[in-house]
Amino acid sequence: MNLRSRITRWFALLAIIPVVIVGFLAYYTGRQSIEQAEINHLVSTNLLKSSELTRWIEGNQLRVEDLAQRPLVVQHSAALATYDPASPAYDNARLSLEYDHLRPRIKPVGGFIEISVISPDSGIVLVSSDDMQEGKYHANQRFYMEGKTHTYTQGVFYSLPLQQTTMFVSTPISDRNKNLVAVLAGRLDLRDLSLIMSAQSGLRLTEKTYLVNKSNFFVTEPSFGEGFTLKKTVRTEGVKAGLSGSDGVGFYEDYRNVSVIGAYKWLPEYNMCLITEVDQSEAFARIDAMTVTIVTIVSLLALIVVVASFLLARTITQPLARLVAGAAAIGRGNLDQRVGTEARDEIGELSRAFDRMAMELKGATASIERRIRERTAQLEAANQELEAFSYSVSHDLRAPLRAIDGYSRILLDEYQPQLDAEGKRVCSVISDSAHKMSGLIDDLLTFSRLGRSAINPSKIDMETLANSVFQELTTPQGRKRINFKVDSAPPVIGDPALLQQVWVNLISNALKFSSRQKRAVIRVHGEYTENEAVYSVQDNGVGFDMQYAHKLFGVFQRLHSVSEFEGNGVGLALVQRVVNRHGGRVWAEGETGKGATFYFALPL
Amino acid sequence: MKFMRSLFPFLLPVVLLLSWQCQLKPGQPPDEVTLQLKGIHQAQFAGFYLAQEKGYYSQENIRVTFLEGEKDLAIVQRVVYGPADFGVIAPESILMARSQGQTVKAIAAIYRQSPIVYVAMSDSGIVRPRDFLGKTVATLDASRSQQDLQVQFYIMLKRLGLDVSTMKLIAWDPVYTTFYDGEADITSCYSNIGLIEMKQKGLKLNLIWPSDYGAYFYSDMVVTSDRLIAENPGLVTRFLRATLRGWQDAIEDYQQAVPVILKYARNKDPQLQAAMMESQLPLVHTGEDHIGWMRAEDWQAMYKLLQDNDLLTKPLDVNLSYTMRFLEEIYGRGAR
Repeated sequence: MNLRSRITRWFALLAIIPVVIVGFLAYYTGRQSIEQAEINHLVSTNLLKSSELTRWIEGNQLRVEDLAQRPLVVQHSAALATYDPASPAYDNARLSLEYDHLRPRIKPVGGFIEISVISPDSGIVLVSSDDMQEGKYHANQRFYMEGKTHTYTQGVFYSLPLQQTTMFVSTPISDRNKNLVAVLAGRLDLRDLSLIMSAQSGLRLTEKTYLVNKSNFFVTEPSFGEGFTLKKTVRTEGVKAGLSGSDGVGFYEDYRNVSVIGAYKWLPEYNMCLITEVDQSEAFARIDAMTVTIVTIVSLLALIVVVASFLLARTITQPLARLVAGAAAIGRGNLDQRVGTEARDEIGELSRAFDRMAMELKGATASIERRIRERTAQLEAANQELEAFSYSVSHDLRAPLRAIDGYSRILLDEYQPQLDAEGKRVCSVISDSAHKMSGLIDDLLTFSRLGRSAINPSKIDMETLANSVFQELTTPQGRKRINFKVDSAPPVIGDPALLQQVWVNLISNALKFSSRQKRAVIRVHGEYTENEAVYSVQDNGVGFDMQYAHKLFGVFQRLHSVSEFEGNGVGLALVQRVVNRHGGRVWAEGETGKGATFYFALPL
Repeated sequence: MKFMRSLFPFLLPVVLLLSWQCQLKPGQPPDEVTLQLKGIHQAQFAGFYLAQEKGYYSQENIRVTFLEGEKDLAIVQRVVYGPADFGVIAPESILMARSQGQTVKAIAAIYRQSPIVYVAMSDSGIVRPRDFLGKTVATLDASRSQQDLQVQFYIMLKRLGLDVSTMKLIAWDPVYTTFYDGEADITSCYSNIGLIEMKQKGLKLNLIWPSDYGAYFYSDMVVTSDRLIAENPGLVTRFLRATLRGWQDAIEDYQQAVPVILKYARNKDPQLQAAMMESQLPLVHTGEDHIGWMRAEDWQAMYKLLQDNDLLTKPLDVNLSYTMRFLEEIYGRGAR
């Protein structure tokens, strides 16, 4: 992974983690506060509804108490309790009660739907706002029994004769002496109760409040459903908790199996439980909206952070990349490359230092190159002079040598009778020495030519070349005592004439130094290494002492005397020169009396 | 002592659990119990069927056999002397039997209100009992199991001071032919049975409820004998607990009770049984007390009505006619 990616990732990671944590905390806190707000709302609604229920009941109690305390109501009720029903006074009292006091209290909707004056002795309805109720008995009804002593509200119950759920408020009608003269009972319109419960206290569409009695039956109609009152039961966690006498809030499924938040409140005075619920889907809609907002903000921030991290990483790595590219270019020798920036930071400083270094390097390089060129020119000139000198010396020496040789031969041929044995020997020595010197001069000239002649490279089959050289250097008779074998010698690019000279010198050396062996063994081997072709010529000859190995390839260097092995000491120097001119290298391994191996390696 | 007191809340549930385990003795064979019903199999007894079918009796280690009611069946005697262990009868029958020395006792009131209603055609002008004068009323019944029909009729008329001799009383017809044919102007019927059938026929009716005119009675009571209560009160508790669970289920979702009822009911009309179920909901659960609950003042009032109408052989201690012991054990003392 490159530096830019790493910097981008780390910066992004370091920035995104706090953003996500902050986002989560914001979500968590927001959710908590919204949940708490919903819970507070539901609890408040429950308190509001319970106080409205109490106010509704107490208001109706006050109404019947107010009616029961009216002097005319007391007077007429007492008359009904004492007068003969057949008497005109009874009838007048009944009519007055019905039309002046009871019926005016009845409203088309809401409040009382029937008010009756009940006999305190028999429980018979003496007069009622509803004629059909007159003559009926309420002796066994709780509202009647309780209403004889105090104002009483009988909770919601099902009246079989009325064929509906109902609720009664009753109060005693007493005379001035506190004697009970009748019971005043009013039947309440339960639609009021349902309206109180169903009235929305907020903007929530799914919010509903209802009452449940201790047998788990609906007492008021819930918002979602009809005909539930005292006909359907509800067994939710909220109702269960409420009916156990506790107040609180819960998350559970309501009677529709819909997930809700519900507040429950036990109303001990009415033996009922008040439930206010709202669908979680609606209550938590704000949470969902908040979640979307937070996720969007966090995502945008994360995106910004990633982009910023990328740009920041690029700001850091771009100069570095230029620096790297510049260094690479300078490394390749382009000292005119410049990587400096205007940036005032450390990287800018570094790039400018780099440019200064490149400039200084360029100056130094130019100076070195100039000096090299000067030295090279000097060396070339000296070399040329030297070669010219050696060539001219060699060339010029050949003429007197030929004269010496010629005249020494003339002496031997024409003046032989005059020469004694010693004279003849001296003449022969002179002639041999002239020949030897001529050979030395030829070798020097060859060596000198090799340093100057151009190389004409082509592909050379080294195996064939080595074999042909061996054939040329030996006679059929001589080959009988020689075990010569080319193991392998892969082809190489080089100058064929020059490399043939290499093989000639190395194989002739091997033949020479193994000539004293009863059976000479010579192995030619070649192979490719990673970037070279390495060839060797191994013999089982006299070998050499490795401490003198460094002298082997010097001009006119010999490790054996001429008397042992003839030669001028130029062959290996020629090998080294040819190989070096091909860009290769030479070396040798050997041990005295155990043969030697000469190597040369050519670049591929 | 303090230590023991702190342990008490933890020990109590353990002790209760152990005692409950001992009480049930799960290894024992179930107690064989026979329930004598008041009438033929129908929705009227739905709670018992649900207790049976939902395994509430089995859970109490009870195996229950239902005996259908029939005309002239002496349910009280069958409960007191066998073969029934429990029965379903009207409170009037309990009080009257008790005054005759029969040791039958109510342990719960399934119908907290009497379903008896007097029915007249809506165009008859008969809207209250005084309109019965000079009319033909189908209410006489010799059946011991339907004593409540004419008892409540007589109590209502006497309470209102109406002279029964001014009316023509004829036998109550369970299929109401006399009423449909016009022979009877008024007929007694049960709101949870006959009235349903009449409404299904589309008749428009005036209803006169005896409870509106001083004849307030419970109706279907679960009874047993004093002997069984004395000998095996645990069995009574278990039976009643399972029964009340069955009734609770029945009224909580009466539609779901219908398939169970149809397994027993003679009349296999699901709509009729469903209508009967719906009509008896307010009888079982009035919205006030627990299912099966009984009030002392109601028993006193019922006793007084019978006594005032000379329907009891001799005075009795009304508290011997019922017991709240088992209801209080099931619902908790002080519950209502």
